[in-house]
Parts: sequence; structure tokens; C-alpha cells
Amino acid sequence: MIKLSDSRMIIAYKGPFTLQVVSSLGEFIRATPIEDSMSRSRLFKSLIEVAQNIALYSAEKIVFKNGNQSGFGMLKIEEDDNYFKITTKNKIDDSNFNKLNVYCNQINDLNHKELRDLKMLNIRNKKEEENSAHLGFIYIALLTLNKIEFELDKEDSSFQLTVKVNKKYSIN
Amino acid sequence: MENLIRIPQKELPYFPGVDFNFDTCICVLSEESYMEESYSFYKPLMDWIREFFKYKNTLDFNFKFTYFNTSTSKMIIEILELLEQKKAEGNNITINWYLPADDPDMLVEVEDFEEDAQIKINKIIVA
Repeated sequence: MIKLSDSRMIIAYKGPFTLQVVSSLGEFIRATPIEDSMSRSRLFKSLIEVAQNIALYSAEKIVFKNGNQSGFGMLKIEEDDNYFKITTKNKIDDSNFNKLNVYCNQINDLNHKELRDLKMLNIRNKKEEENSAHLGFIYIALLTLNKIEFELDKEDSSFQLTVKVNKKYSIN
Repeated sequence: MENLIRIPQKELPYFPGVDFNFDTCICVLSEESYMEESYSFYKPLMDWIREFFKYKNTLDFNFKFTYFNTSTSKMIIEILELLEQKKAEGNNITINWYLPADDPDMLVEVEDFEEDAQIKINKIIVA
């Protein structure tokens, strides 16, 4: 389970991440009063990316009556005095542990210019019919200017991700 | 050749508005784009553009997105590259990108698209 902390909870959700759910979460954030417009924008964009990461890559799927399926997982958004924190948790296949570990560490090791270059390289290398180029984490690191925090739990076959979005961004 | 129209729907906000007008030679993509299966959505649009240039040689292409996800980014590059190819073949193409004034991050992304696709994009800030 995701541990609750002393931060103030904004929203928490556990279930399938259908497009409708992702959209509703996004609309909730847009309706939340956030003073800094850039912070609100980056929170919204980060939220959509991490939610769609669960939708596409969670190893736990919900199959609906119409045959559609969607990734299952958990998401919460908290705030403290300095940050909004989005935390997600979902199941992953054991075979993806090392790849995900290397990928997240690689992103955290790159500077802003290198992240931009990697993003465009990944877009370039994406096959046409692929729905994602695994760009979301790179994009989040570029947007938030913060490292992504992650935990891989082999016993639980789970991946937990925390994205910190500043409550105040100076004009870049 | 028929126009390609998709009016944005409040209950399906992750699909963009599409207004590809054969008669006026103006194409517009608007609102938000964050569907999961971006290729399935954008392939018919790409096909329409290819077909368009069988009949016409002038096109104004306008991006009026207020948000797009990373899955859409690839399709944007695909569209820009197609337009660049058609321009290189001698067609008269103008690309305008209308940028929300409160979203400087989108400007950075558009600059990356422009550099990657090697095509000029007119960037217009809208309040």
C-alpha cells in the first residue's frame, strides 16, 4: 500500500485507469485552485503521463465486458508547503525490473539538454503503430525540473513512482 | 474529396477537434489530444493530407492544441515530416502553431518539433 504521510492529501484513487478516469483526474486538478499557473499546468501534464503509464504498462489489467482492458493501479496527489507530489503504484512483470531500473536511473543522471535530446531520439525511434515511446518519464523530468523518485519491489512485483512538482516556478 | 471534420466533444476531451477543409485548403487541429491509441486516430488524418496533395498544391496547416501528451508527439512529428516532404515536392505550405500564452512549455516543444522535422513553423502566442 502507498503510505499516507503528513502532507495534505488532494486526491487518491485506486482502480482501472481508463481514459475517462484519466480525464476526470485531469479535470479535477484543473478545477483545483493553484496560484501558480505554470505549476498547475505542469501538475496536470505530469498527472496525465503517469496515469497513462499505469493504463498502458501495469501488469494488472481489468478486462471490461466490451473486451476493452485497462491497467490497474493506485495514484495519490499530496501537497506540502513546497511541492505537489504525485505517487503512483502498479504491478509490473518481473522481466521488466532491470529495464525499468536502468531507464529511471538514466533519466535521473541526465541534464536538461540531454533529456531534450533523449526525448526527441525516442520519438524518432518509436515505431508508427506504437502508442507510447516511453517518453512520459523523460517529459516529466523535463517539465518538473526534478528527479523522479522510484521504488521497485521484487517481492510485491510493483513499481512505485513519485513525481514532485514545485508549487512555484520562476519564469524559465 | 470530402472535408474531414471532428467536432470536439466535452465527454471525450482526449480527442482533438479536426477541421480539414478541402475547399478552403485550411487544416486545423484544436483542443486536447491525449488518447492512448494515437496512431489509430492520426493515421486517417495523414491519409487525408496525402490525398489532398493529389488535387491541390497550397495548404495552411494550423495547430491550435491546448494540450497534447507524449503519445501524440510522435504523430505531430509524422505530420510535420509529411508536410516537409510535400513542401520539398514544390507545394506551398504554411504551418502555424497557436500557443497558449500561459504555457511556455509548449513553445519549447514546438521548437524541438521544428528542429527535428526541419520545417518552419510560425509561432503565434494567443492570450
